[in-house]
Amino acid sequence: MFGIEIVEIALFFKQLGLAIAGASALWGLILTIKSSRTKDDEKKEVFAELAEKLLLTLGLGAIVAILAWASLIFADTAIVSAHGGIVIDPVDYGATITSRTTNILFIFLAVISAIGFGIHKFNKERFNKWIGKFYIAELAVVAVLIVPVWTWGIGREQVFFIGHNVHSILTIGTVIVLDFLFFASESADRIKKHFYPFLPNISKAIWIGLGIEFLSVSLVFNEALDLTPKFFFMQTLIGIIIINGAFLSGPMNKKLISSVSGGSVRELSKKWVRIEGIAGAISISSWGTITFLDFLRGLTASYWQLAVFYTGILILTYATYQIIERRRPRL
Amino acid sequence: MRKSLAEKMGIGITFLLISGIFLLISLTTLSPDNLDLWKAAKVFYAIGAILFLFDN
Repeated sequence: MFGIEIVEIALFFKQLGLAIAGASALWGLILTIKSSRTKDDEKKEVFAELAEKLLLTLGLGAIVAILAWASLIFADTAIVSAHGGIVIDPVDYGATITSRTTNILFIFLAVISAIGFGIHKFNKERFNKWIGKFYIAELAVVAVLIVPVWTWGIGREQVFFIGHNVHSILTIGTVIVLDFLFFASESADRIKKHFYPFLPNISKAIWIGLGIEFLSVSLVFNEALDLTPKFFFMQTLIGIIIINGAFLSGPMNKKLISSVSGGSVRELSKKWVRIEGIAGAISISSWGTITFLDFLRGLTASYWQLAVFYTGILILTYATYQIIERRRPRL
Repeated sequence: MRKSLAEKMGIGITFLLISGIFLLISLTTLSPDNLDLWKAAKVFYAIGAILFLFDN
């Protein structure tokens, strides 16, 4: 339907899983470092706790990526589509990473994840001493795996492929991790008190991720620009992401930080909770839609059909937010 | 005294906001022969992102 192939869906899940695992490892590492450097005992404890919670998203991301990879073993995977609607084929650039190398790296990812989670289950204290190194190892493997094309030497195309795929860790991956941490912080005021002032750092990473995407596109711009309905729809989504992101990074972050300033934690009004839910849903569904559409090379849908699809995803995401908000599960 | 939008949102974020609106407007004129507005929106984004990084 609409020119979509099963292989493309598997490639999307591989990218999504790696982006979530990479972002979890990145923020897990940053929170671990922050925890070890602060002298405030409560802050130290909260950051260490949040870093440990990210093992859940890391594990889920790794499982999704590994399952998608396993399904792709039986298919031709020499496909990459660039984010932002600009499409080029890696085969034209003399890709040198073989499927055998990728397979070995995926097995390596599965093994180090299994060892890490095994130690965490049976000897948590010992694992927590090594958690930073575990996150570094996971991040290193994911950062290599998320780039589907490696060529000999660092030319403009290689920089493009690195920028175009690694940015997913800072964008879609970080947006999902941010939502997870946000829901995790809902369970205790002491977590909110230290997590909310940390939010501008996460916003910065997302803006940098989008900047890396823009810069990498400019490297292959002339040969890759293809003004299809998909391209126009993706540019619309990027516009929405920037406007929504400006709101989240500005007034929303300020509101959250002021709710925990002065040593006490105040609940947000219902109006702000609703606004926060809508803005969060727009962010995650826009990034999710862009990443998904990127992998659909032969998409035949019109601009308005894509708009209907996006609206459906947005409504579903907002409904999921509402369910999580009402049930308040302990994450 | 009422604060201006730029003061409320920060200078960098205001630039980012403008680049998003700019990008959406540029789509109405975008073609292979007319990429100027679209590129200008991306330049605004770069300025906004740099200002935002140093502003926080």
